[in-house]
Amino acid sequence: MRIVSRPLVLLLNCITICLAVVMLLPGVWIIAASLTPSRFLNQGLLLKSVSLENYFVALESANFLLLYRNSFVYALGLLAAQIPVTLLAAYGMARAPVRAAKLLFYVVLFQFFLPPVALIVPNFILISRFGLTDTLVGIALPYVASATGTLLLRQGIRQIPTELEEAALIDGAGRLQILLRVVAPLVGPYIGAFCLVSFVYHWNEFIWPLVVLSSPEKRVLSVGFASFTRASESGAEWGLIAAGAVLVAAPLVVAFLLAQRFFIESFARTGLKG
Amino acid sequence: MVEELLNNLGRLDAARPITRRELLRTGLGLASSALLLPFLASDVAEAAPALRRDSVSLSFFYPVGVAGPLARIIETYVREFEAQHPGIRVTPVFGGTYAENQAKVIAALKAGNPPDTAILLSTELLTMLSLNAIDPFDPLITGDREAEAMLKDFFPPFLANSMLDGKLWSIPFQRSTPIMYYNKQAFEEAGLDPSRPPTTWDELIEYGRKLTRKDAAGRVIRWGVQIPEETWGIWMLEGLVIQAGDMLWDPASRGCVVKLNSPATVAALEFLKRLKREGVSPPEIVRWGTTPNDFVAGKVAIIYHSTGSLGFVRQNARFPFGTAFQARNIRFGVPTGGANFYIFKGQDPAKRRATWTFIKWMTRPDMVARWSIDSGYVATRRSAWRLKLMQDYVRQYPQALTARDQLAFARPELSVYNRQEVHVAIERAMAEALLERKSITEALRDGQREVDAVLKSLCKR
Amino acid sequence: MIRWRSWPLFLLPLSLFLAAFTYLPALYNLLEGLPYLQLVLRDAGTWKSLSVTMLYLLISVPASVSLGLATALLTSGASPGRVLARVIFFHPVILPMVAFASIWLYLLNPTSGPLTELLRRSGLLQASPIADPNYTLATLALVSALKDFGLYMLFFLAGLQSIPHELYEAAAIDGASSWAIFRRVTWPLLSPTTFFVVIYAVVTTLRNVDHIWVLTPYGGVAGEAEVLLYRIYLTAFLYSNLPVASALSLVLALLFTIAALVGIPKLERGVYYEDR
Repeated sequence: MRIVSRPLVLLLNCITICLAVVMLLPGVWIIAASLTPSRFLNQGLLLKSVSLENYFVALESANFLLLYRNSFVYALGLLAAQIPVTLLAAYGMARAPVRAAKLLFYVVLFQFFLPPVALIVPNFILISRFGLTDTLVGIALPYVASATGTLLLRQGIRQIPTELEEAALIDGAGRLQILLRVVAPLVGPYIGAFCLVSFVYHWNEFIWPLVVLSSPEKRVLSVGFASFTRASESGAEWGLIAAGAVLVAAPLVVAFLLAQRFFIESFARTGLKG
Repeated sequence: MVEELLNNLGRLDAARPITRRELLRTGLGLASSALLLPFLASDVAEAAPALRRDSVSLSFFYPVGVAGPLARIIETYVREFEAQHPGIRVTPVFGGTYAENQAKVIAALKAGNPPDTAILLSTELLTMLSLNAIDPFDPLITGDREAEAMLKDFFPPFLANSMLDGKLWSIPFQRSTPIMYYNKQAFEEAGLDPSRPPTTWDELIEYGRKLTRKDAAGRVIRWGVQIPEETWGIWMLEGLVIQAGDMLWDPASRGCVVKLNSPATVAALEFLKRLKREGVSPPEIVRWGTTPNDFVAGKVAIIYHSTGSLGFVRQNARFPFGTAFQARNIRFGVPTGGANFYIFKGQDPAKRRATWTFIKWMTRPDMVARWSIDSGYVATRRSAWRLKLMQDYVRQYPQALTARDQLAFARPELSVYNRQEVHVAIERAMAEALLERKSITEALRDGQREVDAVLKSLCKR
Repeated sequence: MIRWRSWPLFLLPLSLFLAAFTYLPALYNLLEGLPYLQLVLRDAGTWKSLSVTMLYLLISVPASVSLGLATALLTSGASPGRVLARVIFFHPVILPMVAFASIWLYLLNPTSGPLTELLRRSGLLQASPIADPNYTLATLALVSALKDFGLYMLFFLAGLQSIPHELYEAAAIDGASSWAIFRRVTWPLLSPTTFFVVIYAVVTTLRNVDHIWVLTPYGGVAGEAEVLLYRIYLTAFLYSNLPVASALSLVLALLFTIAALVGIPKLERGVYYEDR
């Protein structure tokens, strides 16, 4: 039994393809630009000759192995702390008595109200007091309490009918057990989405690591990328910037493709067109 | 009841026992997180590295303003310095652009832990003073023969922005001036002599007219002249105002007077408008960041830009190009630009001595020459130009001489309180005038009012 | 719902970090910025910035959220074609905003950008949208929307997956049209996710200002692109005027709080939660 009629499917597929082609522009441009030697790119001659020289220059301009390691440790380590903290809090929020839950919602939401810029100096002072300047832990601490994660997971948990948990409670299960064995598996896609969001955000984050870190050995990828692509006084080296951007984004694409499988499994169960 | 619910909803995972696969996955996840622990542990431990008991450790914040692996170059210099001075360890801290580096310095100041030295714009002097953050260099220089000689060796315009109240507050390091770049091939095509760039405003327009090329449909495929009007547009405006006989600000006013209403400023804006009216420059606001790219792409024949772009132009231009003084109106003239070394209050004497050693080393004539060649900035000391290293470089790239020779006509750069805010106000006034949203007099009058309002808080008269 | 006494315990870790790294800084900003609040509120620039912010939101959020929803609906499913489409729609999300914006800077370069050329030849626009003050804000809003909608697509996909397939089949058996299915089944069951996405979109859009720095560095020729957050950013980092930046942050936080307290209950009333 078709849920969506054939002609509609065709139309929708066409729209999808058109949109995809448009969206391909930036990505294709970056890859093409990264493979075009700068001297041609600056003439506007994309791919006049194809070479990897931009990549070689980029790799020479910064210690990418170190940068990857630092960013990876930072983003993943932070995620490892964020997931338990936000999962616990989201469950607490979703199942707390109504009035308390409403208050908690706004208390957590408040984190979005302060611009990150306003948080930099006071957080930096705090991190300094703890002696954690120039450490990856120092950059990570302010982000452990993630409002994004908490609220996203809360939404997911609220989509689950409480009967499941009540049955488990009657069977004598503790709340923590219920969270881990009943609720968490059901909000898998939400956790997955948050992992992606958090990882990507912190992989690309620039200004806060710039302020906190000092030693070249601690440098993260975004700062390293900036160290050879910022050109406030001269012209911009598009080829180099493009190659650098590809090097920065590549691990993320890999991560996304791997995480994709997780999404596919879930999405395969439903979907409009079946 | 639960099974019924589950069947109705089509969910099947919740109540079943944990499978071996899940156990494996969870185990893997935990194990890989555990692998992070040693990194995190070393990360925190490394925050306080062990030092030799008698060695000094310095932090040095620096910005990067031109494209290229400058961060690596600075790090190389630092390592060389450390090799020659075993008792001093310097941590070079990349701070981003000028603005980002400044923000980093200020954050460090607020946290009570300023760097030992930092490279900040020469024009940020008043900001640093109003934060009560910096110390003058005079106590270090008096009695130090080497330093006194160094001071006499710097080109005077580069010291102009460092002096206030008779004291020296910063030492020049990465300095630049704006120059003219021109496309020699385009000159030939237009029947102009490639060894004779335009020298007056009128000539600039005349040449521009000949160099502008249109296609069959009447659309411009190459502009004659591009003078940037945003981002560093004020820098360009300063140049024009100097060329018209005045300055955009009053150096004697201790950072409190900007002269937007002067006849010279009006003349400067009228010149820019004329370029657009005559079809020699693009009608929209000319962008700083993309102008060198337009130049090397052959989309414009003459540009005004920082000498810092010389490396970029040299590497990317597929045609012979020349550099020249910016054209004169009443006189030749340009503002200086770039950043200097500053030292911060509250440093203990041992660190201060070590910092001074470092700064003197980085500004030695041979280091100045190397830095200029590696980065494209102007070598700030006269003796540096006489070194063989520099002479060979100049022989290969004579265009590098223009910025130095133009120094004879260079004036200090606009340095007032709330400098950046003033910049933005002036730039907006410029744009209103150039886009014909207001008349020049109106735009400048409103701009002056805004600028004075910005200056008021720190300039109570 | 069975009463749960120990729920505060679950919130303890979050609260500790929240108190230290969100509320303490908020207090700091309050103390630093309060003396300058009056100055900031009297400044016409602040109000102009606020109106620019409103306009920016009104363009960007509907664009990004509806694109996210549309692409989620279009690409849910496991076929390789769908997976590819998802990757394509999602890839701007993982790029640093600076890089993404730089691409648009190149494409929209007023003198030589390929997209500028296209717009000119097609007669749509005479000058590059980033050089024309009338179009700058809309351009920035769209760049932001294009960068983020892939993420919202992901959120919507997560939400879609928890809608049981049987409901669709049941509705189809009853002879409902695709549109009716969407209206009666998908949309209501998706509403918790939509609720989150709208809030997240508003907050994220207002916090993404890196592209403004790339495309119109000083907030546009006449401040027409100076979204309030960007103004705060300029004040803090460019003007090094931290107290005023704190004051502006207070204004922004206050605005958000009012909008949230008023808007969110309204929004949430339309949300259909399974657990009520």
